[in-house]
Amino acid sequence: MKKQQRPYRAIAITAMARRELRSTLFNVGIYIAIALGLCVASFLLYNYVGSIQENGVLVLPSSFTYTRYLGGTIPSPEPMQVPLKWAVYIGAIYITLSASMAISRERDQGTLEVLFYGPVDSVSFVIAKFVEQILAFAVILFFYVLYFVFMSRVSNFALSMGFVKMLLLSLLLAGCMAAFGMFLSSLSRKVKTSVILFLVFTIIFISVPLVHSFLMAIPQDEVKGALSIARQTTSYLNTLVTWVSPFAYLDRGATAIELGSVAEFVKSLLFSLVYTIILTIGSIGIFNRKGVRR
Amino acid sequence: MIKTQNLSKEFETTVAVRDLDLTVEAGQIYAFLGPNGAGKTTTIMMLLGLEKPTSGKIEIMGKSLDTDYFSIKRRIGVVSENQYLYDDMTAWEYLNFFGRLYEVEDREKKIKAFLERVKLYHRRNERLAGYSHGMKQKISIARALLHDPELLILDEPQNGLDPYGIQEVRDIIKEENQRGKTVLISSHILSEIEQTCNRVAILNKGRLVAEGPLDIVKMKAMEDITLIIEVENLTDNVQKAISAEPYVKSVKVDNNKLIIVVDRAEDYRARLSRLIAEEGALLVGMQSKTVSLEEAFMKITESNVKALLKEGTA
Repeated sequence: MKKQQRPYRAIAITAMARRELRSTLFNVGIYIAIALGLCVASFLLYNYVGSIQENGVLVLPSSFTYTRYLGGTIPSPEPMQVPLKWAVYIGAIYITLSASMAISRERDQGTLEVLFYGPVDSVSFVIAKFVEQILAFAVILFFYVLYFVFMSRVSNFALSMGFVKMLLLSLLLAGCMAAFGMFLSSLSRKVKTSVILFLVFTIIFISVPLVHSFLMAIPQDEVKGALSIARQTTSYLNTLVTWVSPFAYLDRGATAIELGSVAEFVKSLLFSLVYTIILTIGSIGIFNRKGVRR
Repeated sequence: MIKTQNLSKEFETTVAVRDLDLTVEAGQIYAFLGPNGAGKTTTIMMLLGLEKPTSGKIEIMGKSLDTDYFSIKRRIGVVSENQYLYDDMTAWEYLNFFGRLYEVEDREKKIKAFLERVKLYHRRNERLAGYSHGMKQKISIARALLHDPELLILDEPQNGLDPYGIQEVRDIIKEENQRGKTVLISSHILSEIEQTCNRVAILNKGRLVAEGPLDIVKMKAMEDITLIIEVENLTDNVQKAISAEPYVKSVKVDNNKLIIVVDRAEDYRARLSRLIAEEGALLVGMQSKTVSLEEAFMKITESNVKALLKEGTA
């Protein structure tokens, strides 16, 4: 593309992202996601406080799936980290769902065609949608931060550096989730299809690690025949999911934070970034092939 | 303003547009006509870069969309027959969004002016979901004009509008053209095209079958010319003298009027006037019976289908 086209693209991205964000903020979905995330966080914090009240000591469970990436013994996470992680998960699922409808909805409604009558191309359109998802997630995070600051005052649980790192990581996770959702959206012409794709992939991404953990927990001497094949297959699938699933990137980073490994944390940030870039480029490519017309 | 060369678009089973050469000069109101499925919308979509041509070249304002995509798009305004609007927005918000997209200066002032022009300013804060078909079309027109484009591409802009709406759109098209805008308009309302356009192209089965100034295209559609001549002292001799002329195909008499069918090779009006005078009659009035655009359109497209059937390519 020519150099002069860059500012035009930036203008288009800004205008579209702004419109989309406005539309999201006037929609109830984002507030349901925030409320749900805060409910889960409150439930966990309530249990922690209750545990302290009852026993005078807080024994924290480690967050799930951490051993999949780095292995080793992981110290107990800080009290605010696990609730934040769960809240982030819920916010991120909302972002994926929203992103998975972002392109297909416009194509389905025909508004995409009208946008492309004007100074909008596939790159500016996909990036605008992506930026809007990140901004929507930033709004979610803003509410979460307010909540956790308030809860920190109330409960005396400290907001440590790990908490800040988790916030940074979650923004990159949102990038992964948005890129993944938009990739699904670019594949379909109908909103219904993209929602189905979102559900199918979410179920796969959640169930494969669970089934794998379950099968791996079976003692080696009991694993024979079909069970052995199933274990081997899920093992391959699980490896694949750790690279394909956007959720895996948060897990990888969260584990690095819990381990206190700066190198692993930076690596996880880089992986997330690469994942986001690859999927965004893929979305633009598929979008170009599918065209803008209904 | 628009130039296409050998433009073709093939889909899996059909050829939508075949070797289309089209030139729209700046300042024209150019009508793009054709029956359903003729390839008009496909051509417009190719002009806008929304469909990739199978072969051929497109130039808009002397540039190609491949190299000057944004600068060209910012100078075009488009209205399509389909009203794809953001229903969750109000008319004001919708125009404001497109104003931002096109970086319109004095945005609010212009939005107000356009909403007043399409008589919807009083409903500016209502959501577009509640707008009628006609109101939505007017908002689409306001959106297309907001950034003061040099070229307007209108695909069936008057579809579904009531007579008042049709007239409003017609007036807008004429006003914008007077202000120097070039207009490419595709429509099925041929009476409207006749009132607004100065040049037409007729597309049939993806091929350009007629192109030129409106009157010329209409003339070409007629095999013969019918002249109605009002005569005083009309005698049999006058009728006989006219019938004897080699270019006259038929003569009928209706009271003091002669209805003469002549071939299209020349303008015979002067010769006929002289003949009538020589026979001692007085010519009171003469007019050529003109064919309407609708009649011309039907004739051209029907004869083209017959030709294609003969060729075996229809």
